[in-house]
Amino acid sequence: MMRPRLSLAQLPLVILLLLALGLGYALLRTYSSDKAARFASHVGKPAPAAMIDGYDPATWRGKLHAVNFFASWCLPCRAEHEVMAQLATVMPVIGIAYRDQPDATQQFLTSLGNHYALVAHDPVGRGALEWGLTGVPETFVVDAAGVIRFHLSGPLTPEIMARELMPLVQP
Amino acid sequence: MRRLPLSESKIVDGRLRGHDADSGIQILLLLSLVVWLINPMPAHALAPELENRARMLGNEIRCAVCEAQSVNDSDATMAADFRSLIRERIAAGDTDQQVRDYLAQRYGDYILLRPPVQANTLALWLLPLAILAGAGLFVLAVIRARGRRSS
Repeated sequence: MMRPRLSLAQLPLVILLLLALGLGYALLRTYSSDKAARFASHVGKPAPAAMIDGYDPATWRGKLHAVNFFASWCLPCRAEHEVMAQLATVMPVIGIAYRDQPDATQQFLTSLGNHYALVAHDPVGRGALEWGLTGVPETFVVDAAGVIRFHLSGPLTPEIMARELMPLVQP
Repeated sequence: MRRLPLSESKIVDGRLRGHDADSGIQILLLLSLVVWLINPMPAHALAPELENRARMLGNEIRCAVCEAQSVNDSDATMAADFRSLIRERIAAGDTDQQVRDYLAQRYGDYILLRPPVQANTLALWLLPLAILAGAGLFVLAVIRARGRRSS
C-alpha cells in the first residue's frame, strides 16, 4: 500500500530532475566560451557598409582582406600583434584603432611594427557597433564578395590562423 | 558647495584665511567651470517622451561587455555607446521595435534581454505554462486519489 503512494509523490521530483538535466545539457552544449559566437557570429553575413574614418568598405570590394579592431591600451592586442604580422603576409589587414588616442596608436605601431595595409580610427566606437563588436581584439575576414568568412572575438593565435584562416586563402 | 571644507580649513590652518581663502574659492570656481565645460554632453539630447523611450529600451538591451547586465545598469564604456546609439536611432525616428531590430541585426537576438516570441524560442515561452498545467493536473489527480481512498 505504501509503495505506490511514495512513487506518486516522487513523480514531480523525477520530472524536475529530468527537466534540469535536459536544460543543463542543452545549455552546456550551446553556451560557447567564444563570446562572438554567443552573440551573433557574423560568418556568412555581408560586411557592414558604413565608413569608418580611414576605411571605406566599398573600395575593398573584390579583395579578400582582414579587419582587425585593436587598441594601444589593450594588452591582448599587444600579444596578438605578432600573429597579425603573419596574417599580413597572406592577406591585407586593416587595423581599426578602437577608442584610442591617435598618438597612442602611433606609438603602439612604431614600437611593435606596423603591418597593417591601412590604419583606420574609430575614436568613439560608433563603427564598432556596426560590426557587432564585443571587445578588442576582434578580427573579421571579408571575402571578395564582401561577405564575412571568419569572425573571432579575442586574440588570433597561430593555431586558429592555420586551422581556420589559411583554408580561406588556399581553397 | 565646497565652501564648508574651506572655511573649516580656515579655522584649523592659521595661514589659510582672508585673501588666501578667497583665491582658494576662486580656483574652485574656475575648476568647476572647466569641469562644466568639458563635461561630455549626451550625443543626442532628446525630448522628455523620447528620452523616456530610450531609458525603457536601455533596460531590455544586454550589455555586450558585462553580459548579465542591461546597458542601463552597466558602467562599461561600450554600454554608454549603446545608450547613445539607442538615442541616435530614436532621434532618427525609429520605433522601439526598429531599434531592437537594428541591434539584433548586428549582435543577434542575444542582445535582447527579453527573447522575442518566434519559432526557435516557442519552447522557452510555452514550457513554463506546460509545466504549470502539468503540475495542476498532478495535484488534481492526487486530491482525487486521496478522496477515493478516504471514502
